[in-house]
Amino acid sequence: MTVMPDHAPTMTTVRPGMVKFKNRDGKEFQFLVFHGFADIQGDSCTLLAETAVPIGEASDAIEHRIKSLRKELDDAGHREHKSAIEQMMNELTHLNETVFPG
Amino acid sequence: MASLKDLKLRIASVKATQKITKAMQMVAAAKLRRAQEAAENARPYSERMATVMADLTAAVGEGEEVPKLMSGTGKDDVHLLVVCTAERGLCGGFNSQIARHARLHIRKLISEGKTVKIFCVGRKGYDALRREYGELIVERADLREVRRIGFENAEDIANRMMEMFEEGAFDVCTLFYSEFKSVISQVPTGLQLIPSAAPEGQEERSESALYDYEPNAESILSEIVPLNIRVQVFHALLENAAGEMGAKMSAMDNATRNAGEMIDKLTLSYNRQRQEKITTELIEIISGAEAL
Repeated sequence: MTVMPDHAPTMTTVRPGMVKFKNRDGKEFQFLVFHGFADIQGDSCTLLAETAVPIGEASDAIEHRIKSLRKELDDAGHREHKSAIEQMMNELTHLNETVFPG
Repeated sequence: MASLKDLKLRIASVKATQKITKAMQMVAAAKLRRAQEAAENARPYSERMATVMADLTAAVGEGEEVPKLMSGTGKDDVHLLVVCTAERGLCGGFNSQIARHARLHIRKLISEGKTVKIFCVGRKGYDALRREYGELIVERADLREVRRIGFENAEDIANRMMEMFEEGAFDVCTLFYSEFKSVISQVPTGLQLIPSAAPEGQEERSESALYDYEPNAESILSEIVPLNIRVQVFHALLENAAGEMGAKMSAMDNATRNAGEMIDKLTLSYNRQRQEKITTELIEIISGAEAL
């Protein structure tokens, strides 16, 4: 999803993934975010994320997340809970593979 | 008149107390720095969250599928007051300020004929409200074991609140805590959480805020509204933690200063009495010698 100035006001949830943005000088930043939501308005875009990690540390952060999720999966009781964790793990693994191939 | 020995003991005991208050002050100062940092770091997030919620509340039209948590039950008969206070005392008027604020609110609601339920977070609030409104307290959360407040603590409390709401235990929920302004000033605040209150003075923005929702309004609102409640509870706990330490620090600073003054006063009268005693003894000796 790309947000440009004068975007229609939109509210959306954010799945784990990369966020790229440029500041006024055209300098580009990249962050990895885990879950959150974005409030997009014509003149502003706010992204509130549960966790945001600069790209440099992203690979470690994902691996750390997957590890802790795996541990949580072992302790999880409900089936629903388990499938939610599994889905999250799949998302993260997929993300890891696309962002850092090899 | 206290004897010399009494005075001496008294001075020693005040000195010991002063040492304790001094140590507590320093501990509070150290903890304050950390708590303040945590509270200040969390502030942009929760403030932004509150504005987004306010926009949303203003933008969501009637007839749309809105979670009950946001729109309320449509009634306003049963009020739940979540009173967040500290676990420990010795922090000046901090806890009683929050309790007083809550008590005023309770009185107002009761005089309007509403039913009031209280959810105490922190032991001190429970102690303060127990005597007068003991039978209204329906729930307590204990954070005594918690050394550093984390999001999961707030989550537990918020989840409990939302469970109660699902059960239909209340219509309106208000959160009471102390906003940390500075080390010497904490402002007791009441914040309505359920249903999400549209704050005043925000009407101008609402025309621009006809939102598109991705993927759809229902799933987004059902995610954001509970998240907002958790975030606001977390914010309240952090502000409280910082406020408690600030209040404790200034209370202990005062106590240390008072102890210092007391020691000076006692030392003065101790010395005076000692001098007097010596003078009397000298007179006795001299007059004894003269009598011979």
